[in-house]
Amino acid sequence: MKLADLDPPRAHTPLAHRRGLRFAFEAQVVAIAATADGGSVLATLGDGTARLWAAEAAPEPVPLAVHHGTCLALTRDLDGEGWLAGGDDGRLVRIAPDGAVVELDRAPRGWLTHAGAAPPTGLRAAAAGRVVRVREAGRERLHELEQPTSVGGLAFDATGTRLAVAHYGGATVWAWRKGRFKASRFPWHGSHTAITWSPCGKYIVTTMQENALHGWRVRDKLQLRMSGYPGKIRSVDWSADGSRLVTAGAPRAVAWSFAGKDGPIDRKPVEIGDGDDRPVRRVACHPRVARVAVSGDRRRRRRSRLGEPGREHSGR
Amino acid sequence: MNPVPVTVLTGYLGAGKTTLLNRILTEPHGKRYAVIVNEFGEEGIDNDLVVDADEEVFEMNNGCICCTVRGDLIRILGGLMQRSDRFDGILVETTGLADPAPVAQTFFVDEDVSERTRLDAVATIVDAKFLEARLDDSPEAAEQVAFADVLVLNKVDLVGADDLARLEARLRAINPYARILRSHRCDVPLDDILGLQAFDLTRVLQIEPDFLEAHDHEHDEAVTSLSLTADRPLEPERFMAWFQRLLAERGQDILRSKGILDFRGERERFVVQGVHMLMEGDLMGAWPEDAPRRSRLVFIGRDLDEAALREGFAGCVATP
Repeated sequence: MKLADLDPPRAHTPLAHRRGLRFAFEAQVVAIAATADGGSVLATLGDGTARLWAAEAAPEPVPLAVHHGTCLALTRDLDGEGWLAGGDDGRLVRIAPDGAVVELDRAPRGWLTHAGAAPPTGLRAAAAGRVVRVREAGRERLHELEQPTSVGGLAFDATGTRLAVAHYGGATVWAWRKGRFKASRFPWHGSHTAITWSPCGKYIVTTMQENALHGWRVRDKLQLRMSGYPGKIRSVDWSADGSRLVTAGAPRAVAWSFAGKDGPIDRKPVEIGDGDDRPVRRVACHPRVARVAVSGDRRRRRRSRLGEPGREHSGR
Repeated sequence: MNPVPVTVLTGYLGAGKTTLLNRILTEPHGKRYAVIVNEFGEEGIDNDLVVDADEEVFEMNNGCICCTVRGDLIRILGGLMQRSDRFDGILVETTGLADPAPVAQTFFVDEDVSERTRLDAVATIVDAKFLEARLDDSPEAAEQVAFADVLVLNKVDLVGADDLARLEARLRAINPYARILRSHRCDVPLDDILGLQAFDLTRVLQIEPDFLEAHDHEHDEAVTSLSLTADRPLEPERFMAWFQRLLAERGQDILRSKGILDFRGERERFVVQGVHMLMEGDLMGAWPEDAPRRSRLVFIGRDLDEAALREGFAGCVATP
């Protein structure tokens, strides 16, 4: 005879399942973004619609018609209260906190795949093919920034004066000064599929088609190679204090330290939280405390789990 | 969610790719397709879901494997799969001069692409009137033939019977494993083009033994095929070491490889297939009771060193 545990340890149930709310939609969720205050969440879907969920105002998500085809790009807009969304109809739209959708731009051809907003400077950027289209809020003038190849990703730095763009063969940083952009190239062979700035503004880091990250110290273009991942790195995020870059692509979340003078050079990354053989697909750091949400490989088993950078297991 | 099948249509400009594409899209088969065309397409495509591709090929290096992939295809397939309810399959048309390898390799290499889609087959359309000139003056033409699972020999009404026999012999010399379909205006049964599962390991089991015999060819083709057989079991470790080294060193010249192998001490057939340096293999069920356990390995490639390949393969046979 065996005795079953009547009250299995809570740690085995992912936090998201114990404490989270679940909504099911007919179409696939492409991207999700919260407002700066965390009060509202917008999810864009593969069928061109979005769902707006305002925690206090509406208990159920409100459907919005956003794009004629598929939603592709999503980011928080300049005010932190609305969103910018791009789609395969080539349109860039603003979604206001009340759900109103306003078209801001329309690319002449191709999909609008990436979008970014820089609150300090009022710049909005969106990529279609190999061109990044940038406008200042309230101004008509369009800046078309031609990249060497199609854009893999784009990101403004915290000051809003530098726009980093990932593409094949490296990255380009566009400095915004006196109403003009000036390009600076950061070459590294291979396909760069996303890009992020360290919150301190000293480093840019790309994810690559190969299972690796690549970084540069912007000041002197010093190269940082961050590899050893068994899988594709689909997601990265910066810890609340900005000192660590937390990444997916391995059985456990992997954090690289960017504290100190040389960032991750000659420093081993650390693995975070519990792990098993299922690769981490998504990571998202808590905006204020040292915690990271980690989601596993949904094709193998649906689950998500939380790790704590304070409970690190070192070595890889 | 089942992976969405992707059919690749290659062939020289004017061979009839767009004609075939439009036939697939307009015939009443009840299936809906998303179409990825190149931006230099000559004719209009009549379909709800057409995406322009820019054929961005780049080299990828993951450890010891080095291959070229289509970056634009990774991005486009990713976007299309966000709403895969809109179509049953995807058709990719390449430019006339395109090398099919990067397209095929994209399906092996990228995790997102291989999770959600599968390469069904490469169909190459060739123009009966101009095929020989193309084979003689451009390496891409031979590569497109070599890569094909199906060869549509189009516009056969423009050449005589003797010419046709010679053309087919040349196609066979390059690629004896593809099915050849003769047509006037790409009027071939669509079931012979779509839903072939040519890159499925189970299909490798259906390589016709007839094709494995030597062929006489009048022309000295740069791209040819070679088949190796062994009647005694192979030593698995020895074979894997040899095959992996071969693909690493000669993978640029080996366009496609397929094999059904009898490993010593193994009850099941081990099946391999590869595109250049990329290779996959698995045990695929027991050998048939009524047939001999005979290992077969076939290559289609450029400047294959027959003597070295035969010697290397023979060296994998287990010592009794």
